[in-house]
Amino acid sequence: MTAWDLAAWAAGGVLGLAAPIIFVAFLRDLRRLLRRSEEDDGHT
Amino acid sequence: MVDLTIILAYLAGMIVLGYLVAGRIRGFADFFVAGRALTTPILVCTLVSSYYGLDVLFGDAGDAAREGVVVWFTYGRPYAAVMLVAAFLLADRLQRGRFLSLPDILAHHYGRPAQVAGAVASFFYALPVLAIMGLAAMGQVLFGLPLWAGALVGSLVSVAYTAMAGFWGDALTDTVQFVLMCVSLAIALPFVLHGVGGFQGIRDTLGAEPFAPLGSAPPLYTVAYSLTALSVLVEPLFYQRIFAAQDAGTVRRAFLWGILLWAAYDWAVTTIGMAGATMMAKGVLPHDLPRDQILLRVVPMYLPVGVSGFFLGGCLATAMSTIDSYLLIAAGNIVYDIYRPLADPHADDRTLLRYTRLSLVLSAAVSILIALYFERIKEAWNFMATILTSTLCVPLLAALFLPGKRKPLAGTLSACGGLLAVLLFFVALEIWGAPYGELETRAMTVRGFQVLREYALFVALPVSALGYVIGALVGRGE
Repeated sequence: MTAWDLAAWAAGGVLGLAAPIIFVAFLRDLRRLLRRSEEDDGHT
Repeated sequence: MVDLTIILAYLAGMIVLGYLVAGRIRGFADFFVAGRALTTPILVCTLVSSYYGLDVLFGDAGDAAREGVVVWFTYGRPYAAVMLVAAFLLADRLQRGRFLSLPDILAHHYGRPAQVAGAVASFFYALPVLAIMGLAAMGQVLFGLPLWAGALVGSLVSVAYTAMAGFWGDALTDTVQFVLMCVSLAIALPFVLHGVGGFQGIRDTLGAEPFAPLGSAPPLYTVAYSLTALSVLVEPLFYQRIFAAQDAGTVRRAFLWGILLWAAYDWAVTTIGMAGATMMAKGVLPHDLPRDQILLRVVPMYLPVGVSGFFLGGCLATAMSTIDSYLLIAAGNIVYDIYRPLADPHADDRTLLRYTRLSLVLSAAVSILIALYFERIKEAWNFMATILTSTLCVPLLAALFLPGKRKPLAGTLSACGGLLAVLLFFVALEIWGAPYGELETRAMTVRGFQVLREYALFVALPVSALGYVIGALVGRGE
C-alpha cells in the first residue's frame, strides 16, 4: 500500500465518520432551537 | 428500478422537509439568513454541501483524470488557504455589521451604484449553472434524458422547497444532503480503488506523470488558475452563512471543519478521477468519454444495486444543495439589492418575500439557459468566478479593511471598472481568440504573447484597483 492509498483511506474515513457525527450534533442543536422557538411562541 | 425509487424518495423527502419548515418563517431575515441562529453543526453542513457541487464532483474528477494529483495540490489547496484567511479575518467584521447580503456592505460604505454593480456580479456568479450542467449530464448518462429535462426536474424541486422555506429550508435540507454526499463518496472510494488495483495499479497504467503535484501546465496558467481562489473572499454563499451564524466563533469552527472535509472530499474525487483515467487507458471505458462524465460512469460499475442508488442520491444531493443555496442568493440580489433600493426602498417583509420567491423561478430559468450554452464545467466556473472577483474583490476588501472614511466614487469606479474590464476581456477573447487545445481553453495573441482566458484577473484586478485609487483621489467624502 502506497502513501497515496493511505491518503485515500484517510479521506474516506474522514468523510464516512465526521459526516454522521456532525449530523448527530446537528439533531441535538435542532431540538434545542425548536424548543426555544416553541417557548417564544408561548410568550407571544 | 431500486435506484430510481431511492432517487424519487429523496426528491419527495426534500419537498416534504421544505413544507414542514415553511410554517416557521416569520419575516425576510428569517427567510434570508435563518434569523441569524445557525450553530456550528448546521453551519458546517450547509457550508460544505452548498459550496461543493457537481462542478467539484464531476469537474474535478474529470480534471484529475487528465492532469492527476495537481488537481488536489495546486488547484484545490489555494482555496483552503484563502478560506482560513476568510474565517479568521472576515468573520468578526462581517458579524458586527449585521448585514443581510454581500452588496449590503457595498451599500453601507459606498452607496447605491456600487451596491447595484455588486449585486449584478453576485447575481451572475450565484446562478447555479455548474450544478445544473451536472444534473443535466446525470439525467443524460443514467436515464437517457435530454439535457434540458434533467436540468429542469432537479431545478424545479430545489426551487419548490427553497421558495417555501427560504434559508431555513435550505440549511436543513443541506444537512441531509451533506451526510448523503459525504457518506456515499466514502462508500464508493474503496470499491473503486480496489477495482483498479490501488494507486500502484494506477501508476502501472498511467506512469509517473499524473503524480506531479504541480502538474505540467505553464507556471503562469497555474498562478492564474490559483488566483481564482480569491473568489473565496467575495463568495456570496460564505457571506450569507456568516451573516446567518450565531457568532464569529461559530463561523471559525465551521470553517475549520469545512477545510478538513473539503480536503478529504477533494482527495476522494481526485482518486476516483485517476481511477477513471486508468480504466480509459485499459479500454474498460471508451477513450473519448466526456471527462465530466467519468465519475458517473466509474462508480456505478463497482457498486452493488441499492448502494449504487444511494450513491446517485448522493450525487443528486451534491447538486441540489448547491442549486437551492445559490438560487436563494441570486433571488436575494434581484429583490433585496436591486429592486428594493432602486424601486421600493420602503418595501415591507411581505413584498420582499413574495418577490424573492418569484425571483427564485426567474433565476432558475436563466441558469438553465446558461447551463445549456457552456460545454465544460471548469470553463463556466472560471468565467463566473472571474467576473465576481474582478468586480468585488477590491472594493469589498477596501471597505472592510482600509482605515478612514470610504468615498462612494471609489467603490463605484472600482466595482464598475473591474466588471467592465473583465467583460471587455472576454468579448475580445471571443472575437480575436482561438481554441487553445493543449489546456482546453481559449487564447489570443497580443504582441507575440499568448493570453489565455484564465489570465483575465491579471487585467481586471489592476483596473479595479486603479478605479478605486482614482475614486478615492477625485471623489467627495459624502
